[in-house]
Amino acid sequence: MSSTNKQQAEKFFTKYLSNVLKSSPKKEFFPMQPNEKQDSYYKKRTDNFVTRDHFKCYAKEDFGGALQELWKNEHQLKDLSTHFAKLAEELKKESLDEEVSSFVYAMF
Amino acid sequence: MNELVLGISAFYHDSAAALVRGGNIIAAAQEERFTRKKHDSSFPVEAINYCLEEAFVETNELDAIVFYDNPFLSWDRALKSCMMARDPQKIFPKIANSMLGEKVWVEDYALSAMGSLGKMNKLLFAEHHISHAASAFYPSPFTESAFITLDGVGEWATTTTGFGDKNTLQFVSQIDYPHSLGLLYSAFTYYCGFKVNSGEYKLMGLAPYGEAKYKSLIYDHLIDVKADGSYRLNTEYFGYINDFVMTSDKFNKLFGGEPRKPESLITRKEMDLAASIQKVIEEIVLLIAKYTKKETGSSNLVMAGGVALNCVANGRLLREKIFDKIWIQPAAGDAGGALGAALSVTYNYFENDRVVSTTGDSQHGSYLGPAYSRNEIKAFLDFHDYPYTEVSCATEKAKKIAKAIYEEKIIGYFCGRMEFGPRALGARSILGNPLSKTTQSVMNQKIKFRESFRPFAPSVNLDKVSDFFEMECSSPYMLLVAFVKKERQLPVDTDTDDLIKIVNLARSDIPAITHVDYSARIQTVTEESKADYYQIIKEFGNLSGYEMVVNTSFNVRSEPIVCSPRDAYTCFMRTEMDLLVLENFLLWKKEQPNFDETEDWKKNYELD
Repeated sequence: MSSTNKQQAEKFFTKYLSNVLKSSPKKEFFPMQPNEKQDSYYKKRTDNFVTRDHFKCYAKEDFGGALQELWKNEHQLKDLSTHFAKLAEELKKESLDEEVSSFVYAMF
Repeated sequence: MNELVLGISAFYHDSAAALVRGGNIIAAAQEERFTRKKHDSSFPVEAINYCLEEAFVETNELDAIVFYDNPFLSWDRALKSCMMARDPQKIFPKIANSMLGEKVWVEDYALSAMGSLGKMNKLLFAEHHISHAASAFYPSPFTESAFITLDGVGEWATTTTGFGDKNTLQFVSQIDYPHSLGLLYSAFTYYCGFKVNSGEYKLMGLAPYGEAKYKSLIYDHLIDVKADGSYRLNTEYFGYINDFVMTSDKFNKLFGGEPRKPESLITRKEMDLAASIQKVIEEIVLLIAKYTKKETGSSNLVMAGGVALNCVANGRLLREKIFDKIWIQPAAGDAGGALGAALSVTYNYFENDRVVSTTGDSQHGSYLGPAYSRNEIKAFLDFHDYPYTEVSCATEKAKKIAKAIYEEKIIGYFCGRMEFGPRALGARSILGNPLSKTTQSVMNQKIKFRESFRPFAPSVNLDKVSDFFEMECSSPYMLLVAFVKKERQLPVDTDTDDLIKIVNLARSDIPAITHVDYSARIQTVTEESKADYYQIIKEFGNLSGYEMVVNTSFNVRSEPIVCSPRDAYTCFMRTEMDLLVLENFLLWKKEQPNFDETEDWKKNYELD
């Protein structure tokens, strides 16, 4: 990662994301621990049949819109959508240079 | 009906492309084979070019182009995971650069690489586990089947179960990040000093040396498993939320210290850890399978996702007979996602009817990569003045190769279309004599340039498989492990912890392929699936009484499997193989000119 990109991301974090974290520091997006009381950890899908609607398209000029749609029920993140889209434009690389780590599963 | 769909996987693990026409798989290949960079995760330009060439089509003729994963949903997951981390400020720049700086721009990379986005003029995005499920179900020989997908993580899902019927896919249940069998297994891979994302199969190979001493510790602290096979991890023990490693200090303390340093001595502790996590994974997979059987009522099962490459767990699943029949996508990891995405678009987007093969599956033996014609190979050999003999008669060729194997020569075998998936299945393979006590050490030291604690795999003609192994069914993709027949097993008495000494002890009358627990990772071969290979094994059987050869991938350690005649010749000359077979051309090492290289080629390959 270039130092410029790192700085841009850090600046973004300080300007936008830290405020979200401060306003809801206990936000649990997913469970971190087992729960003895639950009988099952399976989640049922409501959209269980794969249809044409499962295939998404994203217009590159409307990343912000795509993120807004994604976070339509999560207002704090939804409000940041256009900022994230702008950050994506700033961070976009001409060529891919990320190496796959041998220490952690490649998941982002 | 005959839509031409290109599927692409990239950016995480093995990138790949696959081309499907009306449900028929035309071509599929991993990018690493062309770029010669192991597990290459870059945008698969070369693989795409190959697929298009194979079908004689241009990008603007494609009815759809689909990416196997949804980067926006992955961004949602990565961001929320970051926000849950102890120090989000540390994590954010990395995920922002990786996701926002690269992965969400996949459509741009596609356009730039291909010059067109096909007739739709846009890229479709599938979901990661839909791609896996489709890759498992649609090429399978079943009209209807239950499916299970298991991997590290896609967007959010890490485990899914469901049901495929004709051209439909229906999801039943799902488990989401950060709870993941793939990540759990990778944590132990990391802790035992192997590379995450590629060394998981080493951990599996190490397991038979150990005792499952840590199993209760794993269940007590790391994972809670319900009766239906659903599970949840205790994230305090894992590093991937708060850091860029797999385990936390708490994990390390639980298992008595820091992770093993890569390439350092493997001790009894790593063997026992490997055995323990392997048992845990097997037990959970069995519970998930029972649940899936109950939920779907199907007697068939298909599987995909990186965990489905755990052929030991697959073998156990088969032995437990929860399902009557099991089919596993040979490119079960992310490469296969390219194929699954293309098939899913064919059936779920274009809603084509599905025609199930009456003679087996529709994977074409997974021989889906490039082949080279006689003229191409001859031109290559003549241009370089490499001495060869051309043998046009298939029987005569098979006899010559079988005789060489019988005489304990090591053969580089290059014939037909290259395999799609991590296993060499007799198209890009190194062959040896399974009866010889020295095959294993010779292949490891003089060919692969490694000291491996894992034995090689056998290719055995299907009609003879039950003569050697406790297995009645086919295993065409080397994804099932079974035990060598009791009467063939030899007792071994050893008290050493030296893995190399242990693995080199003869444990049966087929020592080169018998693991320390008497298991073997089996490929069954039929005349229909690969006639040339079947015939060699048959001829070897005529000489030795054993219709079986040792089959390992045609590469050296850390090198991708060879793709072209040039790759094959180079690998042949860099190693101590005796004979190279390039289709009908036979090249003996002793007749070849000196092969001088200006640089140390071993430096080009990072240790795996």
